Amino acid sequence: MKVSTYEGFVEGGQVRLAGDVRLPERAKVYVVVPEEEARLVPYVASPRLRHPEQAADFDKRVIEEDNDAGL
Amino acid sequence: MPAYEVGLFNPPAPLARVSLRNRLSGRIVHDVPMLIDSGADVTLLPRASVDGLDIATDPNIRYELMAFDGTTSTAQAAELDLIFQKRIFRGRFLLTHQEVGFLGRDVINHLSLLLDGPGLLWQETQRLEKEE
Repeated sequence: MKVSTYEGFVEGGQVRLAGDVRLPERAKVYVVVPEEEARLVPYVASPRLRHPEQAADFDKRVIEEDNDAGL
Repeated sequence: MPAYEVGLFNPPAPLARVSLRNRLSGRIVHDVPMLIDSGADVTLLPRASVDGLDIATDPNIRYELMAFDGTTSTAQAAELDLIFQKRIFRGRFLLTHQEVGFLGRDVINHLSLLLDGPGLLWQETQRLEKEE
């Protein structure tokens, strides 16, 4: 099996190839991760405001996109 | 139909892709990954995505956050448009250094979302009727 190697990086959970490399649509690829980068990214979910009264600062104006004229 | 993310989360988690827009310049960033997180009081956006919008943030305005284990941290805020499910959510958003943001209750409480865990899919649905 002939193998070509390209360098890339993970961005937003997607693997993106560096430079101008373009592969055919649905090309089969294998991802090799250097050991020092294979660790899981620590993830802290469900953050709470320490001062719940500040939640009012984050009230949103909700606009239907169909009515987006001039925005 | 949007799918759960199986690569970053174990067990899999519902992930939304949103667009962010600088409402002054119109500059826009698409495809920003956001965990649908009903446990988050407010939405946090990946700073790397917001940086692409050239939005000025005031370093003196910071909000204290508390994680599930009681540890605290602070986050900066930015004013912008978040575009999701054919709606524009305009207002203040917190920023995180994590690569995936959180879609918190300040946004998802405006929507009716169905989480199909067994199918690893989610979608917006019709509002439920209140039972008398």
